[in-house]
Amino acid sequence: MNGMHVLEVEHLNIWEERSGRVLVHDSSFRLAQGECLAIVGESGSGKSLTCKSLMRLNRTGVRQSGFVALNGEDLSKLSDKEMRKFRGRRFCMIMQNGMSAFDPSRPIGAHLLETLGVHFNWSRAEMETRLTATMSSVGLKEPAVVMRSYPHELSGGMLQRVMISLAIVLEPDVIIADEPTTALDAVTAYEVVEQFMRLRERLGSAMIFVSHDLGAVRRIADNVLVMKDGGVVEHGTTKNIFAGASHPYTRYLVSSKQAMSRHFEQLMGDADVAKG
Amino acid sequence: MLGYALKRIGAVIPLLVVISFLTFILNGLSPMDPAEVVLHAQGVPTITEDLIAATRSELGMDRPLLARYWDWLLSCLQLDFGSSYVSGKPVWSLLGPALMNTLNLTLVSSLFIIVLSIALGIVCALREGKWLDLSVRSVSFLLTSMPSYWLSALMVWYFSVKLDLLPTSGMDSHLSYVLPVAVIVIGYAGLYFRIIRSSMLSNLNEDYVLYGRACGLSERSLTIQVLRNSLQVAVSVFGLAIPVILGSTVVVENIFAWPGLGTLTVNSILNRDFPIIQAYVLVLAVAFVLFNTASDLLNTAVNPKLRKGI
Repeated sequence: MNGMHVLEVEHLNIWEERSGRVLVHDSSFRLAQGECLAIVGESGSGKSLTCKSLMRLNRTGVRQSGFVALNGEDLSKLSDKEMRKFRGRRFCMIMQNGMSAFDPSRPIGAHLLETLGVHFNWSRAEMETRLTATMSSVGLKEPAVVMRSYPHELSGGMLQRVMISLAIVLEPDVIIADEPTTALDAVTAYEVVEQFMRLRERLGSAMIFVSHDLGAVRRIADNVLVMKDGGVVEHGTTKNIFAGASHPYTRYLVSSKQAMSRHFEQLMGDADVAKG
Repeated sequence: MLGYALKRIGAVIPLLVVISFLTFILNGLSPMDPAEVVLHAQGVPTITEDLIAATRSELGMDRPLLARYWDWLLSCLQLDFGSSYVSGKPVWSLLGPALMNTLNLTLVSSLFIIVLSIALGIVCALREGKWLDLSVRSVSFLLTSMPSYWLSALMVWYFSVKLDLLPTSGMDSHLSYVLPVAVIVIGYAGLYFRIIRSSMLSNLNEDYVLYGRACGLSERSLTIQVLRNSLQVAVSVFGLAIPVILGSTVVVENIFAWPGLGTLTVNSILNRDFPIIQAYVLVLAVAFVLFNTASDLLNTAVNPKLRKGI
Protein backbone atom coordinates (compact mmCIF):
# COMPACT_ATOMS: atom_id res chain seq x y z
CA MET A 1 0.00 0.00 0.00
CA ASN A 2 2.88 2.34 -0.66
CA GLY A 3 1.75 5.90 -1.07
CA MET A 4 -1.89 4.90 -0.79
CA HIS A 5 -3.89 6.31 2.08
CA VAL A 6 -6.14 4.09 4.10
CA LEU A 7 -8.37 6.95 5.08
CA GLU A 8 -8.85 10.25 3.35
CA VAL A 9 -10.98 13.00 4.83
CA GLU A 10 -11.46 16.16 2.82
CA HIS A 11 -13.46 19.28 3.63
CA LEU A 12 -15.46 17.61 6.37
CA ASN A 13 -18.13 19.94 7.67
CA ILE A 14 -20.47 19.08 10.54
CA TRP A 15 -23.36 21.26 11.59
CA GLU A 16 -26.51 21.19 13.65
CA GLU A 17 -29.54 20.91 11.42
CA ARG A 18 -32.00 22.94 13.47
CA SER A 19 -29.85 25.92 14.48
CA GLY A 20 -27.43 25.77 11.56
CA ARG A 21 -24.57 26.06 14.06
CA VAL A 22 -21.32 24.78 12.57
CA LEU A 23 -19.60 22.25 14.83
CA VAL A 24 -16.66 21.24 12.64
CA HIS A 25 -15.62 23.23 9.59
CA ASP A 26 -13.49 22.27 6.66
CA SER A 27 -11.42 19.60 8.33
CA SER A 28 -9.08 17.53 6.14
CA PHE A 29 -6.57 14.84 7.02
CA ARG A 30 -5.19 11.56 5.74
CA LEU A 31 -4.13 8.37 7.36
CA ALA A 32 -1.48 6.05 5.87
CA GLN A 33 -1.35 2.32 6.43
CA GLY A 34 -0.20 1.64 9.99
CA GLU A 35 -0.12 5.31 10.92
CA CYS A 36 -1.36 6.52 14.27
CA LEU A 37 -2.90 9.96 14.20
CA ALA A 38 -3.70 11.64 17.49
CA ILE A 39 -6.47 14.22 17.58
CA VAL A 40 -6.04 16.56 20.54
CA GLY A 41 -7.92 19.59 21.70
CA GLU A 42 -10.16 20.78 24.48
CA SER A 43 -13.69 19.48 25.15
CA GLY A 44 -16.13 20.66 22.52
CA SER A 45 -13.45 21.20 19.89
CA GLY A 46 -15.07 18.61 17.61
CA LYS A 47 -12.74 15.65 18.14
CA SER A 48 -15.45 13.10 18.94
CA LEU A 49 -17.80 14.49 16.31
CA THR A 50 -15.09 14.07 13.69
CA CYS A 51 -14.58 10.43 14.68
CA LYS A 52 -18.28 9.64 14.74
CA SER A 53 -18.85 11.24 11.36
CA LEU A 54 -16.25 8.94 9.77
CA MET A 55 -18.58 6.06 10.63
CA ARG A 56 -21.72 8.16 10.05
CA LEU A 57 -22.67 7.71 13.68
CA ASN A 58 -23.65 11.22 14.67
CA ARG A 59 -27.05 11.51 16.32
CA THR A 60 -30.05 12.64 14.28
CA GLY A 61 -30.12 16.39 13.88
CA VAL A 62 -26.38 16.57 13.23
CA ARG A 63 -25.53 16.71 9.51
CA GLN A 64 -22.25 16.29 7.72
CA SER A 65 -20.78 16.96 4.29
CA GLY A 66 -17.40 16.39 2.68
CA PHE A 67 -15.41 13.52 1.27
CA VAL A 68 -14.56 10.51 3.43
CA ALA A 69 -12.91 7.56 1.70
CA LEU A 70 -11.68 4.26 3.06
CA ASN A 71 -9.09 2.60 0.80
CA GLY A 72 -10.30 4.82 -2.00
CA GLU A 73 -13.98 3.96 -1.54
CA ASP A 74 -16.25 6.98 -1.06
CA LEU A 75 -18.21 6.27 2.14
CA SER A 76 -20.85 8.93 1.56
CA LYS A 77 -22.13 6.88 -1.40
CA LEU A 78 -22.83 3.81 0.75
CA SER A 79 -26.38 2.94 1.79
CA ASP A 80 -27.11 2.61 5.51
CA LYS A 81 -27.04 -1.16 5.20
CA GLU A 82 -23.66 -1.18 3.47
CA MET A 83 -22.33 1.30 6.01
CA ARG A 84 -23.41 -1.00 8.82
CA LYS A 85 -21.25 -3.77 7.38
CA PHE A 86 -18.28 -1.39 7.45
CA ARG A 87 -18.84 -0.57 11.10
CA GLY A 88 -16.98 -3.02 13.27
CA ARG A 89 -15.42 -4.88 10.35
CA ARG A 90 -13.51 -2.03 8.62
CA PHE A 91 -13.75 0.64 11.30
CA CYS A 92 -13.48 -0.36 14.91
CA MET A 93 -14.36 2.02 17.70
CA ILE A 94 -13.00 1.87 21.21
CA MET A 95 -15.04 3.89 23.63
CA GLN A 96 -14.01 6.20 26.41
CA ASN A 97 -15.95 4.60 29.21
CA GLY A 98 -16.05 0.82 29.20
CA MET A 99 -18.56 0.86 32.04
CA SER A 100 -21.28 2.38 29.87
CA ALA A 101 -20.22 0.88 26.55
CA PHE A 102 -21.91 -2.48 27.05
CA ASP A 103 -25.58 -3.33 27.52
CA PRO A 104 -25.93 -3.48 31.34
CA SER A 105 -28.45 -6.35 31.14
CA ARG A 106 -26.35 -8.75 29.09
CA PRO A 107 -23.14 -10.59 29.80
CA ILE A 108 -20.14 -9.15 27.92
CA GLY A 109 -19.83 -12.33 25.87
CA ALA A 110 -23.28 -11.84 24.34
CA HIS A 111 -22.18 -8.55 22.79
CA LEU A 112 -18.88 -9.99 21.56
CA LEU A 113 -20.48 -13.05 19.98
CA GLU A 114 -23.25 -11.03 18.40
CA THR A 115 -20.74 -8.62 16.85
CA LEU A 116 -18.64 -11.45 15.42
CA GLY A 117 -21.84 -13.13 14.21
CA VAL A 118 -22.71 -10.02 12.19
CA HIS A 119 -19.36 -9.95 10.38
CA PHE A 120 -18.16 -13.54 10.10
CA ASN A 121 -19.64 -16.93 9.37
CA TRP A 122 -17.76 -18.60 12.19
CA SER A 123 -19.18 -21.26 14.44
CA ARG A 124 -19.76 -20.33 18.05
CA ALA A 125 -16.88 -22.51 19.17
CA GLU A 126 -14.53 -20.80 16.71
CA MET A 127 -15.59 -17.34 17.88
CA GLU A 128 -15.03 -18.35 21.48
CA THR A 129 -11.61 -19.80 20.73
CA ARG A 130 -10.49 -16.63 18.96
CA LEU A 131 -11.90 -14.33 21.66
CA THR A 132 -10.34 -16.36 24.45
CA ALA A 133 -6.94 -16.30 22.75
CA THR A 134 -6.96 -12.54 22.16
CA MET A 135 -8.30 -11.80 25.62
CA SER A 136 -5.43 -13.68 27.21
CA SER A 137 -3.01 -11.84 24.95
CA VAL A 138 -4.18 -8.44 26.24
CA GLY A 139 -3.80 -9.55 29.83
CA LEU A 140 -7.32 -10.63 30.75
CA LYS A 141 -6.66 -13.56 33.01
CA GLU A 142 -9.85 -15.59 32.90
CA PRO A 143 -11.50 -15.00 29.51
CA ALA A 144 -14.33 -17.47 30.16
CA VAL A 145 -15.26 -15.68 33.39
CA VAL A 146 -15.03 -12.28 31.68
CA MET A 147 -17.37 -13.47 28.91
CA ARG A 148 -19.95 -14.52 31.48
CA SER A 149 -19.65 -11.30 33.49
CA TYR A 150 -21.97 -8.33 33.34
CA PRO A 151 -20.36 -4.92 32.68
CA HIS A 152 -20.80 -3.77 36.28
CA GLU A 153 -18.84 -6.76 37.51
CA LEU A 154 -15.66 -5.70 35.67
CA SER A 155 -13.39 -2.69 36.05
CA GLY A 156 -13.03 0.12 33.49
CA GLY A 157 -9.56 -1.07 32.55
CA MET A 158 -10.77 -4.64 31.98
CA LEU A 159 -13.63 -3.45 29.78
CA GLN A 160 -11.18 -1.32 27.83
CA ARG A 161 -9.14 -4.48 27.21
CA VAL A 162 -12.28 -6.36 26.19
CA MET A 163 -12.90 -3.71 23.51
CA ILE A 164 -9.28 -3.94 22.40
CA SER A 165 -9.46 -7.71 22.12
CA LEU A 166 -12.67 -7.47 20.09
CA ALA A 167 -10.83 -5.07 17.76
CA ILE A 168 -8.00 -7.58 17.40
CA VAL A 169 -10.41 -10.34 16.37
CA LEU A 170 -12.20 -8.03 13.92
CA GLU A 171 -8.93 -6.89 12.25
CA PRO A 172 -10.28 -3.54 11.02
CA ASP A 173 -8.58 -1.17 8.58
CA VAL A 174 -8.92 1.75 10.96
CA ILE A 175 -9.22 1.75 14.72
CA ILE A 176 -10.85 4.79 16.26
CA ALA A 177 -10.12 5.19 19.95
CA ASP A 178 -12.20 7.98 21.45
CA GLU A 179 -10.42 9.13 24.61
CA PRO A 180 -9.74 5.54 25.67
CA THR A 181 -7.75 6.50 28.75
CA THR A 182 -9.75 9.44 30.10
CA ALA A 183 -11.97 7.39 32.40
CA LEU A 184 -9.10 5.33 33.81
CA ASP A 185 -6.72 5.94 36.69
CA ALA A 186 -3.14 6.84 35.75
CA VAL A 187 -1.60 3.39 36.13
CA THR A 188 -4.38 1.57 34.28
CA ALA A 189 -4.26 4.23 31.57
CA TYR A 190 -0.55 3.62 31.19
CA GLU A 191 -1.13 -0.09 30.75
CA VAL A 192 -3.98 0.45 28.31
CA VAL A 193 -1.79 2.70 26.14
CA GLU A 194 0.75 -0.12 26.21
CA GLN A 195 -1.97 -2.43 24.84
CA PHE A 196 -2.76 0.07 22.10
CA MET A 197 0.87 0.16 21.04
CA ARG A 198 0.95 -3.63 20.84
CA LEU A 199 -2.34 -3.63 18.98
CA ARG A 200 -0.80 -1.40 16.31
CA GLU A 201 2.25 -3.57 16.00
CA ARG A 202 0.14 -6.67 15.75
CA LEU A 203 -2.52 -5.60 13.28
CA GLY A 204 -0.76 -2.89 11.34
CA SER A 205 -4.09 -1.04 11.26
CA ALA A 206 -4.21 2.69 11.02
CA MET A 207 -5.38 4.31 14.21
CA ILE A 208 -7.03 7.53 15.26
CA PHE A 209 -6.31 8.22 18.90
CA VAL A 210 -8.42 11.00 20.38
CA SER A 211 -7.09 12.14 23.69
CA HIS A 212 -6.65 14.87 26.26
CA ASP A 213 -3.68 12.96 27.53
CA LEU A 214 -0.65 14.42 25.79
CA GLY A 215 1.60 11.97 27.63
CA ALA A 216 -0.20 9.07 25.97
CA VAL A 217 -0.21 10.89 22.63
CA ARG A 218 3.53 11.35 22.73
CA ARG A 219 4.05 7.66 23.37
CA ILE A 220 1.76 6.32 20.71
CA ALA A 221 1.15 8.79 17.90
CA ASP A 222 3.14 9.38 14.69
CA ASN A 223 1.24 12.52 13.80
CA VAL A 224 -0.87 14.95 15.74
CA LEU A 225 -3.90 16.94 14.66
CA VAL A 226 -4.78 19.82 16.93
CA MET A 227 -8.38 20.99 16.91
CA LYS A 228 -9.88 24.11 18.42
CA ASP A 229 -13.47 25.37 18.12
CA GLY A 230 -14.31 22.92 15.33
CA GLY A 231 -11.32 23.71 13.16
CA VAL A 232 -7.91 22.12 12.58
CA VAL A 233 -5.29 24.55 13.88
CA GLU A 234 -2.23 22.39 13.42
CA HIS A 235 -1.23 19.10 11.83
CA GLY A 236 2.31 17.75 12.07
CA THR A 237 4.51 14.96 13.27
CA THR A 238 4.45 14.27 16.99
CA LYS A 239 8.10 15.19 17.29
CA ASN A 240 7.67 18.58 15.69
CA ILE A 241 4.52 19.38 17.65
CA PHE A 242 6.19 18.65 20.97
CA ALA A 243 9.49 20.25 20.01
CA GLY A 244 8.20 23.50 18.63
CA ALA A 245 4.64 24.04 17.51
CA SER A 246 3.90 26.93 15.23
CA HIS A 247 0.39 27.68 16.46
CA PRO A 248 0.17 29.50 19.83
CA TYR A 249 -2.70 27.28 20.98
CA THR A 250 -0.63 24.13 20.47
CA ARG A 251 2.31 25.69 22.30
CA TYR A 252 -0.04 26.52 25.13
CA LEU A 253 -1.35 22.93 25.29
CA VAL A 254 2.13 21.43 25.25
CA SER A 255 3.59 23.77 27.84
CA SER A 256 0.75 23.35 30.32
CA LYS A 257 0.98 19.59 29.88
CA GLN A 258 4.70 19.60 30.54
CA ALA A 259 4.36 21.68 33.67
CA MET A 260 1.67 19.42 35.05
CA SER A 261 3.08 16.03 34.26
CA ARG A 262 6.74 16.38 35.17
CA HIS A 263 6.17 14.79 38.54
CA PHE A 264 3.94 12.03 37.15
CA GLU A 265 6.39 11.16 34.40
CA GLN A 266 9.12 10.75 36.95
CA LEU A 267 6.92 8.27 38.81
CA MET A 268 6.01 6.32 35.70
CA GLY A 269 9.64 6.39 34.59
CA ASP A 270 10.50 4.67 37.84
CA ALA A 271 7.78 2.12 37.22
CA ASP A 272 9.28 1.42 33.80
CA VAL A 273 12.65 0.84 35.34
CA ALA A 274 11.14 -1.48 37.93
CA LYS A 275 9.31 -3.48 35.25
CA GLY A 276 12.27 -3.69 32.92
CA MET B 1 -32.29 -16.04 43.34
CA LEU B 2 -34.54 -18.52 45.15
CA GLY B 3 -32.97 -17.57 48.47
CA TYR B 4 -33.55 -13.90 47.75
CA ALA B 5 -37.16 -14.60 46.79
CA LEU B 6 -37.77 -16.43 50.06
CA LYS B 7 -36.09 -13.63 52.03
CA ARG B 8 -38.16 -11.01 50.27
CA ILE B 9 -41.39 -12.94 50.87
CA GLY B 10 -40.40 -13.48 54.49
CA ALA B 11 -40.01 -9.72 54.96
CA VAL B 12 -43.60 -9.28 53.85
CA ILE B 13 -45.04 -11.12 56.86
CA PRO B 14 -44.16 -8.55 59.59
CA LEU B 15 -45.38 -5.83 57.23
CA LEU B 16 -48.73 -7.60 56.87
CA VAL B 17 -48.99 -7.94 60.68
CA VAL B 18 -48.46 -4.18 61.11
CA ILE B 19 -51.00 -3.42 58.39
CA SER B 20 -53.58 -5.73 59.90
CA PHE B 21 -53.09 -4.21 63.36
CA LEU B 22 -53.48 -0.68 62.04
CA THR B 23 -56.61 -1.73 60.18
CA PHE B 24 -57.95 -3.32 63.35
CA ILE B 25 -57.50 -0.28 65.58
CA LEU B 26 -58.88 1.97 62.82
CA ASN B 27 -62.33 0.98 64.05
CA GLY B 28 -61.67 2.38 67.50
CA LEU B 29 -60.90 5.80 66.02
CA SER B 30 -64.46 6.30 64.82
CA PRO B 31 -66.48 8.75 66.92
CA MET B 32 -69.45 6.36 67.13
CA ASP B 33 -69.59 3.32 69.35
CA PRO B 34 -69.88 0.25 67.05
CA ALA B 35 -72.51 -1.21 69.38
CA GLU B 36 -74.63 1.90 68.84
CA VAL B 37 -74.16 1.61 65.07
CA VAL B 38 -75.35 -1.99 65.15
CA LEU B 39 -78.46 -1.04 67.12
CA HIS B 40 -79.19 1.85 64.76
CA ALA B 41 -78.73 -0.37 61.76
CA GLN B 42 -81.06 -3.00 63.17
CA GLY B 43 -83.72 -0.32 63.62
CA VAL B 44 -84.01 -0.59 67.42
CA PRO B 45 -86.39 2.25 68.39
CA THR B 46 -85.00 3.34 71.79
CA ILE B 47 -81.34 2.79 72.56
CA THR B 48 -80.58 2.59 76.28
CA GLU B 49 -77.21 2.39 78.05
CA ASP B 50 -78.06 -1.18 79.14
CA LEU B 51 -78.82 -2.22 75.62
CA ILE B 52 -75.50 -0.79 74.37
CA ALA B 53 -73.60 -2.61 77.13
CA ALA B 54 -75.38 -5.87 76.29
CA THR B 55 -74.56 -5.49 72.59
CA ARG B 56 -70.95 -4.68 73.41
CA SER B 57 -70.48 -7.91 75.33
CA GLU B 58 -72.39 -9.80 72.65
CA LEU B 59 -69.89 -8.47 70.05
CA GLY B 60 -67.00 -9.29 72.40
CA MET B 61 -65.97 -5.65 72.69
CA ASP B 62 -65.45 -5.70 76.44
CA ARG B 63 -62.40 -7.96 76.11
CA PRO B 64 -58.80 -6.65 76.01
CA LEU B 65 -57.64 -5.11 72.69
CA LEU B 66 -54.86 -7.61 71.93
CA ALA B 67 -57.08 -10.62 72.63
CA ARG B 68 -59.69 -9.19 70.29
CA TYR B 69 -57.01 -8.50 67.67
CA TRP B 70 -55.69 -12.05 67.89
CA ASP B 71 -59.14 -13.57 67.44
CA TRP B 72 -59.89 -11.19 64.60
CA LEU B 73 -56.60 -11.98 62.88
CA LEU B 74 -57.17 -15.73 63.11
CA SER B 75 -60.62 -15.45 61.66
CA CYS B 76 -59.41 -13.08 58.93
CA LEU B 77 -56.92 -15.72 57.83
CA GLN B 78 -59.90 -17.98 57.25
CA LEU B 79 -61.59 -15.19 55.28
CA ASP B 80 -64.06 -14.70 58.14
CA PHE B 81 -64.25 -10.93 58.52
CA GLY B 82 -67.35 -11.00 60.72
CA SER B 83 -70.81 -9.98 59.66
CA SER B 84 -72.09 -6.81 58.10
CA TYR B 85 -73.65 -4.55 60.74
CA VAL B 86 -76.39 -3.62 58.32
CA SER B 87 -77.48 -6.77 56.54
CA GLY B 88 -76.08 -9.28 59.02
CA LYS B 89 -74.59 -11.32 56.17
CA PRO B 90 -71.00 -12.55 56.44
CA VAL B 91 -68.62 -9.86 55.11
CA TRP B 92 -66.82 -12.24 52.78
CA SER B 93 -70.06 -13.23 51.06
CA LEU B 94 -70.40 -9.56 50.07
CA LEU B 95 -66.77 -8.64 49.65
CA GLY B 96 -65.60 -11.81 47.86
CA PRO B 97 -67.74 -11.49 44.71
CA ALA B 98 -67.25 -7.71 44.65
CA LEU B 99 -63.49 -8.19 44.88
CA MET B 100 -63.55 -10.68 42.02
CA ASN B 101 -65.58 -8.28 39.83
CA THR B 102 -63.23 -5.39 40.55
CA LEU B 103 -60.18 -7.61 40.09
CA ASN B 104 -61.51 -8.69 36.67
CA LEU B 105 -62.08 -5.08 35.67
CA THR B 106 -58.64 -4.06 36.99
CA LEU B 107 -56.72 -6.88 35.39
CA VAL B 108 -58.38 -6.50 32.00
CA SER B 109 -57.73 -2.74 32.15
CA SER B 110 -54.14 -3.23 33.33
CA LEU B 111 -53.44 -5.64 30.50
CA PHE B 112 -54.60 -3.07 27.96
CA ILE B 113 -52.74 -0.28 29.77
CA ILE B 114 -49.48 -2.25 29.77
CA VAL B 115 -49.72 -3.35 26.14
CA LEU B 116 -50.80 0.08 24.92
CA SER B 117 -48.23 2.01 26.98
CA ILE B 118 -45.35 -0.18 25.88
CA ALA B 119 -46.40 -0.10 22.22
CA LEU B 120 -46.95 3.66 22.16
CA GLY B 121 -43.84 4.30 24.26
CA ILE B 122 -41.63 2.38 21.83
CA VAL B 123 -43.15 3.87 18.69
CA CYS B 124 -42.97 7.44 20.03
CA ALA B 125 -39.41 7.05 21.28
CA LEU B 126 -38.23 5.68 17.93
CA ARG B 127 -40.02 8.51 16.09
CA GLU B 128 -39.09 11.21 18.57
CA GLY B 129 -40.09 14.69 17.42
CA LYS B 130 -41.77 13.38 14.24
CA TRP B 131 -45.46 14.00 13.61
CA LEU B 132 -46.49 10.57 14.92
CA ASP B 133 -44.83 11.21 18.27
CA LEU B 134 -46.27 14.70 18.50
CA SER B 135 -49.81 13.67 17.60
CA VAL B 136 -49.88 10.66 19.95
CA ARG B 137 -48.61 12.85 22.76
CA SER B 138 -51.11 15.64 22.18
CA VAL B 139 -54.11 13.30 21.81
CA SER B 140 -53.13 11.39 24.94
CA PHE B 141 -52.62 14.64 26.81
CA LEU B 142 -56.10 15.75 25.83
CA LEU B 143 -57.70 12.43 26.84
CA THR B 144 -55.78 12.09 30.11
CA SER B 145 -56.82 15.57 31.18
CA MET B 146 -60.51 14.68 30.95
CA PRO B 147 -62.06 13.75 34.30
CA SER B 148 -63.14 10.10 34.21
CA TYR B 149 -66.75 10.79 35.20
CA TRP B 150 -67.15 13.23 32.34
CA LEU B 151 -65.46 10.94 29.85
CA SER B 152 -67.71 8.09 31.06
CA ALA B 153 -70.83 10.17 30.57
CA LEU B 154 -69.67 11.22 27.11
CA MET B 155 -68.95 7.64 26.06
CA VAL B 156 -72.23 6.29 27.44
CA TRP B 157 -74.10 9.01 25.56
CA TYR B 158 -72.34 8.28 22.27
CA PHE B 159 -71.78 4.51 22.21
CA SER B 160 -74.75 3.33 24.26
CA VAL B 161 -77.48 5.90 23.72
CA LYS B 162 -76.79 7.31 20.27
CA LEU B 163 -75.31 4.28 18.51
CA ASP B 164 -76.88 1.69 20.82
CA LEU B 165 -73.84 -0.56 20.49
CA LEU B 166 -72.91 -1.18 24.10
CA PRO B 167 -74.76 -1.59 27.40
CA THR B 168 -74.94 1.56 29.53
CA SER B 169 -74.23 -0.20 32.80
CA GLY B 170 -74.10 -3.47 34.72
CA MET B 171 -71.99 -6.56 34.19
CA ASP B 172 -73.99 -8.84 31.93
CA SER B 173 -71.67 -9.85 29.08
CA HIS B 174 -68.19 -9.25 27.71
CA LEU B 175 -69.55 -6.15 26.03
CA SER B 176 -70.15 -4.63 29.46
CA TYR B 177 -66.40 -4.45 29.93
CA VAL B 178 -65.80 -2.20 26.92
CA LEU B 179 -66.80 1.19 28.30
CA PRO B 180 -65.44 0.96 31.87
CA VAL B 181 -62.19 -0.56 30.62
CA ALA B 182 -61.88 2.15 27.95
CA VAL B 183 -62.34 4.91 30.55
CA ILE B 184 -59.74 3.41 32.91
CA VAL B 185 -57.27 2.72 30.08
CA ILE B 186 -57.58 6.26 28.72
CA GLY B 187 -56.97 7.66 32.19
CA TYR B 188 -53.79 5.71 32.84
CA ALA B 189 -52.22 4.74 29.52
CA GLY B 190 -51.48 8.37 28.68
CA LEU B 191 -49.48 8.61 31.87
CA TYR B 192 -47.57 5.35 31.65
CA PHE B 193 -46.63 5.49 27.98
CA ARG B 194 -44.79 8.72 28.76
CA ILE B 195 -42.72 6.92 31.38
CA ILE B 196 -41.82 4.17 28.88
CA ARG B 197 -41.08 6.75 26.18
CA SER B 198 -38.75 8.87 28.29
CA SER B 199 -37.01 5.79 29.67
CA MET B 200 -36.51 4.52 26.10
CA LEU B 201 -35.15 7.90 25.02
CA SER B 202 -32.64 8.13 27.83
CA ASN B 203 -31.48 4.60 27.04
CA LEU B 204 -31.20 5.38 23.32
CA ASN B 205 -28.67 8.10 24.16
CA GLU B 206 -26.54 5.74 26.23
CA ASP B 207 -23.02 4.86 25.16
CA TYR B 208 -23.84 1.18 24.75
CA VAL B 209 -26.17 2.01 21.85
CA LEU B 210 -23.42 4.00 20.14
CA TYR B 211 -20.90 1.22 20.72
CA GLY B 212 -23.38 -1.40 19.51
CA ARG B 213 -23.94 0.64 16.37
CA ALA B 214 -20.19 1.14 15.94
CA CYS B 215 -19.79 -2.64 16.11
CA GLY B 216 -22.30 -3.03 13.28
CA LEU B 217 -25.16 -4.49 15.32
CA SER B 218 -28.57 -4.22 13.67
CA GLU B 219 -31.06 -1.54 14.73
CA ARG B 220 -33.48 -4.31 15.64
CA SER B 221 -31.07 -5.88 18.07
CA LEU B 222 -30.26 -2.47 19.58
CA THR B 223 -33.96 -1.67 19.99
CA ILE B 224 -34.41 -4.93 21.88
CA GLN B 225 -31.49 -4.05 24.19
CA VAL B 226 -32.90 -0.59 24.82
CA LEU B 227 -36.35 -1.99 25.41
CA ARG B 228 -35.15 -4.54 27.93
CA ASN B 229 -33.34 -1.86 29.90
CA SER B 230 -36.29 0.51 29.70
CA LEU B 231 -38.75 -2.12 30.86
CA GLN B 232 -37.01 -2.34 34.22
CA VAL B 233 -38.51 1.04 35.03
CA ALA B 234 -41.84 -0.11 33.65
CA VAL B 235 -42.00 -3.24 35.82
CA SER B 236 -41.80 -1.21 39.04
CA VAL B 237 -44.22 1.38 37.73
CA PHE B 238 -46.81 -1.19 36.64
CA GLY B 239 -46.34 -3.21 39.83
CA LEU B 240 -47.58 -0.22 41.79
CA ALA B 241 -50.10 0.86 39.16
CA ILE B 242 -52.23 -2.28 39.40
CA PRO B 243 -53.18 -1.85 43.09
CA VAL B 244 -53.66 1.89 42.53
CA ILE B 245 -56.16 1.09 39.77
CA LEU B 246 -57.73 -1.54 42.03
CA GLY B 247 -58.35 1.10 44.66
CA SER B 248 -59.44 3.88 42.37
CA THR B 249 -62.16 2.26 40.31
CA VAL B 250 -64.76 3.80 42.67
CA VAL B 251 -65.87 6.52 40.26
CA VAL B 252 -66.02 4.29 37.21
CA GLU B 253 -67.80 1.50 39.11
CA ASN B 254 -70.44 3.86 40.44
CA ILE B 255 -71.12 5.36 37.01
CA PHE B 256 -71.37 2.01 35.25
CA ALA B 257 -73.11 0.29 38.19
CA TRP B 258 -70.31 -2.27 38.28
CA PRO B 259 -71.01 -4.61 41.20
CA GLY B 260 -67.47 -4.26 42.53
CA LEU B 261 -65.49 -3.08 45.53
CA GLY B 262 -65.94 0.60 44.77
CA THR B 263 -69.71 0.43 44.80
CA LEU B 264 -69.74 -1.78 47.90
CA THR B 265 -67.35 0.44 49.83
CA VAL B 266 -69.13 3.69 49.08
CA ASN B 267 -72.38 2.15 50.34
CA SER B 268 -70.64 0.76 53.42
CA ILE B 269 -69.05 4.10 54.25
CA LEU B 270 -72.42 5.83 53.98
CA ASN B 271 -73.95 3.19 56.32
CA ARG B 272 -70.93 3.12 58.66
CA ASP B 273 -70.73 -0.63 58.10
CA PHE B 274 -67.33 -1.01 59.79
CA PRO B 275 -66.57 -4.73 59.21
CA ILE B 276 -66.86 -4.25 55.46
CA ILE B 277 -64.71 -1.09 55.44
CA GLN B 278 -62.15 -2.85 57.62
CA ALA B 279 -62.01 -5.87 55.35
CA TYR B 280 -61.78 -3.62 52.27
CA VAL B 281 -58.84 -1.67 53.68
CA LEU B 282 -57.11 -4.91 54.66
CA VAL B 283 -57.65 -6.58 51.29
CA LEU B 284 -56.39 -3.53 49.40
CA ALA B 285 -53.34 -3.10 51.63
CA VAL B 286 -52.47 -6.76 51.15
CA ALA B 287 -52.89 -6.34 47.39
CA PHE B 288 -50.45 -3.39 47.43
CA VAL B 289 -47.87 -5.39 49.35
CA LEU B 290 -48.23 -8.44 47.12
CA PHE B 291 -48.00 -6.56 43.81
CA ASN B 292 -45.06 -4.55 45.07
CA THR B 293 -43.23 -7.70 46.14
CA ALA B 294 -44.01 -9.39 42.83
CA SER B 295 -42.64 -6.43 40.85
CA ASP B 296 -39.51 -6.38 43.02
CA LEU B 297 -38.89 -10.05 42.34
CA LEU B 298 -39.53 -9.60 38.63
CA ASN B 299 -37.15 -6.64 38.51
CA THR B 300 -34.45 -8.61 40.27
CA ALA B 301 -34.89 -11.38 37.76
CA VAL B 302 -34.35 -9.07 34.76
CA ASN B 303 -31.78 -6.65 36.21
CA PRO B 304 -28.36 -8.21 36.85
CA LYS B 305 -27.24 -5.18 38.86
CA LEU B 306 -29.90 -5.80 41.50
CA ARG B 307 -29.10 -9.49 41.49
CA LYS B 308 -25.53 -8.75 42.53
CA GLY B 309 -26.45 -7.67 46.05
CA ILE B 310 -28.19 -10.94 46.88
